[in-house]
Amino acid sequence: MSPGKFPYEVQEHEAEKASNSYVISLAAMVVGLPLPIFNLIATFFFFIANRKESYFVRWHCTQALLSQFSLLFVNSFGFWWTVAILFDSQPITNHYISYLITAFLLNLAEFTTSIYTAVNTRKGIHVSWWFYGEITNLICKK
Amino acid sequence: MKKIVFQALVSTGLFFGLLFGLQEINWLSFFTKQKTQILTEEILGDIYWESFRADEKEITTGLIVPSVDSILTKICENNAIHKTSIKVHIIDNLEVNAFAFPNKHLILNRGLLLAAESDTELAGVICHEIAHIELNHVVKKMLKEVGLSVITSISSGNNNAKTVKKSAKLLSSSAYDRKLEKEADLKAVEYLNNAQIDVTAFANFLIRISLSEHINSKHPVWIDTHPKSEIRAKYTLENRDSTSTKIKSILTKNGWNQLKVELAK
Repeated sequence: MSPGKFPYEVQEHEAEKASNSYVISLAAMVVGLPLPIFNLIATFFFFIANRKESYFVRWHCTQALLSQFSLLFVNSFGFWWTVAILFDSQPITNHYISYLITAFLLNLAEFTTSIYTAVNTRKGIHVSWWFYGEITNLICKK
Repeated sequence: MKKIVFQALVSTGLFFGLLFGLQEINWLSFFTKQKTQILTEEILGDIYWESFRADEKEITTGLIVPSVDSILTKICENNAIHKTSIKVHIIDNLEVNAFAFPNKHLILNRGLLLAAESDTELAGVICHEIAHIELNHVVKKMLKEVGLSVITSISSGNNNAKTVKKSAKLLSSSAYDRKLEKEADLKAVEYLNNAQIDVTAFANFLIRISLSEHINSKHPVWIDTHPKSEIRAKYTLENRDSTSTKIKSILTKNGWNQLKVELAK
């Protein structure tokens, strides 16, 4: 994650919308857990709604959307593993607990990063995430 | 593009590195879940049993209890099961039924004992119920049939007699799912094999009782709630150990006959 300058001066309304894309993902994460599909859907609709907005808004909506994919896979796997334990007689193993802790740490990292990014983008500061920022640069064109 | 691939590899590596690192720690011993579950099971089992006993007559005297105890001892000793942890109760009820409550309460109806034609048949049924207990099926069934909220309410003391009675009745008469029944059958076969008891007797019991020919009760609950008996008998026989000589009886012939006479009284 690296805060930096955007190619142009970001306006107040752009900063607000860009920040909202992370707020949406945070809210959906809280509401949707343990079903991770909700935050993906929420950020996707926010992305669709803002696809004709300025570059700064589009860029951050895209980054917010892309960042949900890793959570989708990790949380879905954890969710169905838990279902199998509860309803299909699967035992609770050391692997399962380790996976839950890893998934929790990933969710926590994503959560705190989203808060940090939401706060900074609201101030007009551009925050590019490790890996997702690079993909966003590829996808999102001026 | 190279940067993205590099960052993807580093991220994936970090994720799996953390995961594999955490797997090295023995988390299971950190969590007291097992202990809590045992405690809850103890409370629930005793509540259910007390509630059930209030409506039934338990047989505690005569030949029946020591005879069943001999069979149980034979099974437990050969399968490294703590016999004292299993609480066997014989109920004076002609319904052909056997079931388990949490905290290892094993309930056998007099009707089931009467329906058995030999002690090895009875051993098969006891093995099947012990398998449910040892494989933790009782708690799984309880969660499915009674529901977590009711269990939590009962175990925390916020129970009313009606709810306890109703869920105890449900546990005594409802089925485990097919998968759990098969698991218990196969485990029972393993117990019988280890105790050198002839598995054929258990298979014969399953088939005979399903035909309801020699049953004193109109409703053989133990069979009604289980998968098809022919299928069970088939996989039971398929898994028997035929490599060693099996004992044909646990009690003496005289002991079994005396037991049958007492059961019929």
